[in-house]
Amino acid sequence: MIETTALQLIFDIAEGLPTACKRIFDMLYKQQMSYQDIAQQLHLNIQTVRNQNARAIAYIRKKLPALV
Amino acid sequence: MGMEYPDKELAIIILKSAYTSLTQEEQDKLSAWLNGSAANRTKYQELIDSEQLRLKMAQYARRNDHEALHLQTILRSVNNKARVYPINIVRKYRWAVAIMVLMLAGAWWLTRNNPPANTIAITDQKPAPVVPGKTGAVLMLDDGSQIVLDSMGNGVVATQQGTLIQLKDGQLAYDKTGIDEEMLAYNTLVTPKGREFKLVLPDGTAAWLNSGSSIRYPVRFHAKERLVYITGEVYFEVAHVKNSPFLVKVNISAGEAGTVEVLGTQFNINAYENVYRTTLLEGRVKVSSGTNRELYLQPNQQAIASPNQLIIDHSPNIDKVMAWRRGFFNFDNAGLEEVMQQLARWYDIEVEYQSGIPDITFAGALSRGMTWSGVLRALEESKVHFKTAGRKIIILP
Repeated sequence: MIETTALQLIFDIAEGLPTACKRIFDMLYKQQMSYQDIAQQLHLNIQTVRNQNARAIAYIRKKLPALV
Repeated sequence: MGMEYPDKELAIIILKSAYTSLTQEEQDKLSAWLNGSAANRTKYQELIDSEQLRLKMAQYARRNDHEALHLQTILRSVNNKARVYPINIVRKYRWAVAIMVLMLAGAWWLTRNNPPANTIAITDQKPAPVVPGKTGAVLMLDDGSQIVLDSMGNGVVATQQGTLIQLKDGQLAYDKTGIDEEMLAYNTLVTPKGREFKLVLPDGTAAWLNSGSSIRYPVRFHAKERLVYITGEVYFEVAHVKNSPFLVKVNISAGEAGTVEVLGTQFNINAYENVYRTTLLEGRVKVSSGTNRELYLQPNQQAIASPNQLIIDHSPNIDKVMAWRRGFFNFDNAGLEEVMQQLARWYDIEVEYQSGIPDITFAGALSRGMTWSGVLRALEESKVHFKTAGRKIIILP
């Protein structure tokens, strides 16, 4: 139960991510693709994918406490 | 993000603890939970480990997607059953419409002294997001007053002739401790679109109302018979009272359609269309239609009645009939129109067909907790072409 709630909270917050960032978040966390695969598929630099991931995590961490 | 999840606060504390320091209060809560059981401690380790969390997220996302994809299409080829229902929306929802009008009138009355600064601001407002239905209803008392039960907490809602009407955990119950009186006061409970509700009648009979339904009942039953009136879809578990038959008068769009006489039992009545279907799960009921015809149902049989017909189905799809009570839509062998009607009632949306109703037959089930975007995804997967505009979905050829 607590797990479902935790996961749902993360996905709820992720809905608010900017489009490009959300797309990479979904590929990383919903489809479990690797940085490499995502970079290839989207024709991006692998570092860009890493940066977008870092951005998504920072966003979620920032928004999380506000949900209380 | 307005949704409430169980243990939300604790979940946030757990997630936060993986990357930041907690307040003393948060630490205490987390410690108390961790000390609760070894299972909790294991779960905690899993949730704060980023690799394991990522795995769980993927599993969770797949589960949700799977649910959406579970609704599939089978192109219509076998379903030759005659379609019985051209429906008249206004008549069908006339009670709900009446209530809406009253509520709107009330809202206007309350706000008319504070006209909005400019009308453009109103049209600029985004329509409310489409969300799954939930528990809620409007109670109409004998004196014409109305109580919206959605946001009320537990406690006594009203008293009627000495009978206490109490709301507890989203259910309404009648406590008959008052003095006896001859005259029967009637209450009506209405579930608008997007709401369902459980009611316990004064005799202990439980009634579950699906969305877009109503039940009219006396606050205290007559000794000789117990009579209620319904529209829409209601599932009953009737309490047995010796020498006091339980009667359900069913109204459909064309007017009163018949009566179900109950002899102690569990059954579902679906009267959304211009026939009404009584499906018996347990016990025995007598179903009559307007033409003085009547028949007895055995468990797992369904009677299909209208003012001028009464037929029996010896092997109805019970899972399909009872799906709504179990939190699902069952769309097995359902046409697009039926699917859209069910979705419209639960998600409180309008459906418009741009040019006729496409011939699509569905199979599969869908959770009633499914998000609206999940539903739309499922429809896309089922080859339904549509566009949305606010709370309206327009079905394209």
